[in-house]
Amino acid sequence: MKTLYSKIALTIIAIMLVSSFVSFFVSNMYYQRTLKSQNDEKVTKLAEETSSFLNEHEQLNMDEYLDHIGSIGYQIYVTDGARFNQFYGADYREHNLPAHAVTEVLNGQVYHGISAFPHTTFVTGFFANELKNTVGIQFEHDGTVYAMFIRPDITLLFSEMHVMFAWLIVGILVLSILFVLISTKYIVKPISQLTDATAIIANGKFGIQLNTSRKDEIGALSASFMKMASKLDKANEMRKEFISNISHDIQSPLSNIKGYMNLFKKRKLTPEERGYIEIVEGEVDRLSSLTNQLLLLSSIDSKKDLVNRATFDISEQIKLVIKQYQWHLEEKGMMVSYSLPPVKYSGDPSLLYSVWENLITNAIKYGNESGEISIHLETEMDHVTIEFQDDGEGISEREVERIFDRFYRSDTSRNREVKGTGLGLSIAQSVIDLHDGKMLVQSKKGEGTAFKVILPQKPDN
Amino acid sequence: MKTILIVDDDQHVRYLVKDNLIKEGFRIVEAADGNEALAKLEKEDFDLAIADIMMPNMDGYELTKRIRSQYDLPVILLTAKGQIEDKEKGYLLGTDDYLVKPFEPKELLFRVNALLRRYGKAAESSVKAGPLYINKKSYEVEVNGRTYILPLKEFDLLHFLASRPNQVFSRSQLIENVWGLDFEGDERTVDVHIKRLRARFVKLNINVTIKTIRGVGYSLEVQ
Repeated sequence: MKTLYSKIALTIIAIMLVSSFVSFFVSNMYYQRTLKSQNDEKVTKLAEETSSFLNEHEQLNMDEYLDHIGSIGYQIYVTDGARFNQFYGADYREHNLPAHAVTEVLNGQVYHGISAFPHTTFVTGFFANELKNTVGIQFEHDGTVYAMFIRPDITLLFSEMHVMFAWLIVGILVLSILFVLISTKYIVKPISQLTDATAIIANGKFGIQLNTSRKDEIGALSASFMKMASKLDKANEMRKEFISNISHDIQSPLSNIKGYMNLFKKRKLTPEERGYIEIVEGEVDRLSSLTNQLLLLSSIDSKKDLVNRATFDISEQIKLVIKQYQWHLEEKGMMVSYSLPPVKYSGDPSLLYSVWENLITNAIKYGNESGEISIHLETEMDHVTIEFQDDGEGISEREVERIFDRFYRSDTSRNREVKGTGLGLSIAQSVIDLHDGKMLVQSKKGEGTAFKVILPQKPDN
Repeated sequence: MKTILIVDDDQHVRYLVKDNLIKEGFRIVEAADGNEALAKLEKEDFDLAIADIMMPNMDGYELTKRIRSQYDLPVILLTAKGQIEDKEKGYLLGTDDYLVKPFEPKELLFRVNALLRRYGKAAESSVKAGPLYINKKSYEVEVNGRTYILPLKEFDLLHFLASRPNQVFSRSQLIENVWGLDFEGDERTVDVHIKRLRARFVKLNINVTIKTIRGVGYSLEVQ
């Protein structure tokens, strides 16, 4: 699992393990460099003490004395280099004394086994319970020269300390891992909350609330995140208002041009003059719908995701479109039939509205006089299907391939009176794409055309 | 004579709407913004108001809201704001209709007439004929769970015939009742509309027929 939580937790645990390893290694080095010789000196002093005691007290029972020393925490090996080989105190784990050591010690030299103990990474030498890890010294007793090798019995002296240190280390490890796991959760939680918040913003809901009471960087991040969200909200609002205003400011004068041309037309005019006026009126209509569609396009082309997602009833929306186009239907004597059961859908309402507008204007444009437009809506498990069917001339297969192209218009050569910008279907297609839907066209020459829109139902989040 | 209040800050728009409506026999009162409109509303009774949205002082939304709360008066918002959000807001605040500029003067007339018709005859009865449910209030016909919106005259004709099933009407009777006394077309118009209604019935496959009674006229029969 590659979550931030596991990453942080694992990293901290790894750091802990690595640093304990490194500090063990460093302290080991320190022991080897400095402490080892000090330890050696200490033990040497001890050995000298013992040997001089034995040297000075001839009447002493050597065996009893060394046995006593052994029992209070020392490991001792005594030899005369021949038959006498005696161990006192706890036994060594390994009897690996180099052969020359005994000879040297018998000759009066001091054997410094502790400081000569080899460097190894994981063994400090301090605890190495080996015969060679001792200090050797010569003494004389009853006329015989002995070599004595001695080291403190660490196991005996420090066994409680051992247990305590073991507990200490285990405790440190277990507790710190536990606390790392808990504290990481605490650190990561606000980040997961921020992630959730970005997902919400991506869905077009800007009114998020985050906990900004924390006084650290994450609190600051949450605060600036909320600031950003409200700015995005404002920018989005401004964009919408801008589009709305531009549209308003262009449409108003166009409306007046059209209206006054219309008044002009009612005067006594020559057919030629009437023709000119009709051209102006047609161009005004074209300019007006072009303005609308270009503004729509500008807001679609820059988007990959739906920003203004909302849950609404598609059926209600289509009914509103039908109502808005009632006069155009009346003009052509057309009947609309529909079955529009209520259906909740999550999408961009204004973009989808433009799709229905486009489909109904197409159906009116290309349908027959006093014909019928039928609208079907069906909901299935995971999608909604909406179909607009007209009973007009139909489109040939060759044309079907091109109707979604921008600025393509069916039948331009023959059907001059059919007005349009050629942008409508291309926009509708883009809108449906944005909703991950599909638009299908079925058409038969002479029987009419059906546009089918399939929109996947996504869980509203 | 019906009186209509036009509210728009653009005098050219007011003139345009006024000119078109006066020719159709309406009396027109103008107002340049919402406040002026409310003042005029207090002084006299109106049959309908046509209002712009973007106006100084008080906009069309606010005006619609005020009219809704104080007067029983149909409102048409006539505006260049064509976004669905604007329309939704308008309908939410209680406008009866919404027309986007640039508009066809004929469309405005159609909507004005449709609204006046609906407001005047709130009590007019809806009719059931066989599987047909003819809703006079919404101007819709419902058959087997599907809704049909017919062209106005076809609807009126169907409603008239269906309210008196099996009764035979002559063409001139139908013209008088459906088109009105001042209709200038001839009786052929009735035949054309009957033909269209029949064509639509064929597709529905229902047991309602419009019979031709030779030499007399038409009657609607439910088997």
